Amino acid sequence: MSSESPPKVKEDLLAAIPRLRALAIGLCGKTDQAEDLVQETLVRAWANLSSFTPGTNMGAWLYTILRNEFYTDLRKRRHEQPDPDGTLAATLVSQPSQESRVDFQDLRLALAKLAPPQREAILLVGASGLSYEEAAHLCNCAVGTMKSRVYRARMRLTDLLNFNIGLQSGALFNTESEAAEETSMSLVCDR
Amino acid sequence: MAKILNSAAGAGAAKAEQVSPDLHALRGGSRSVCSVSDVHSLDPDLRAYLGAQLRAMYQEIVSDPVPHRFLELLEELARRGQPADEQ
Repeated sequence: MSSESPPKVKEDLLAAIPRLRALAIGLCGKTDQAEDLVQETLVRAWANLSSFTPGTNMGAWLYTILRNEFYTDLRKRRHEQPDPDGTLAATLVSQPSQESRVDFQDLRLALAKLAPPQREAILLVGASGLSYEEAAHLCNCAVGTMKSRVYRARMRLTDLLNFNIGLQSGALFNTESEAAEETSMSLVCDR
Repeated sequence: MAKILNSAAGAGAAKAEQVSPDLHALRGGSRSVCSVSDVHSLDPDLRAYLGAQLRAMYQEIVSDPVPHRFLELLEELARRGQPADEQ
């Protein structure tokens, strides 16, 4: 057995974890389940490193493994329980917020109620800042399909969250949102 | 990257497509943007606020320190070595 793996690979995996974990939490809703998903992704990635082309985007490659795992698990669990989204929502309600930082519990609850492909679409495009083209590439679907999913997800989320109450406050609009969009890094940067 | 996508997740992604809503229904839906609920949902202020919330939620998680379990996992994987190296 070769004693060392290229340190670069380990560094790249490490660097990809925060974004991978954020997307996993958005997809799964529950942090512990999301971290199990990330762990499984890393193990599989390591076992299949030979299929990764050096110089291409590792974050994107890892995400395709993660989403593959996610949808496989989803199909398995659908056999076990008929209403995974409802169950997830109920569990989320009973979970206290872990930190006293900004509470995105309402948003996470609303995300959990979306159909998984729509949830994935709004996370990739709306949250992580990917273009429709990049997100469609990752999800192996047409750009038009991705646009439709994002559109429907936005409509459903705004309905679920009932923002009208919150909009009475003047402090809602984040003036840094444009900057955040710039820095909310793109998974795919090797265009 | 397309090659990687296909080899790494081709089967899974293709299956994932099965859970997606019917494409024709989506296209039909996106044309009828004038219904009352659509107008409500597409309000630019609401949309901007939703986008800011989503990005803030994502950024907050991204800025978390890498959980210890992943650092340990990477150490363990590195100790085991890469399968590719063993050929």
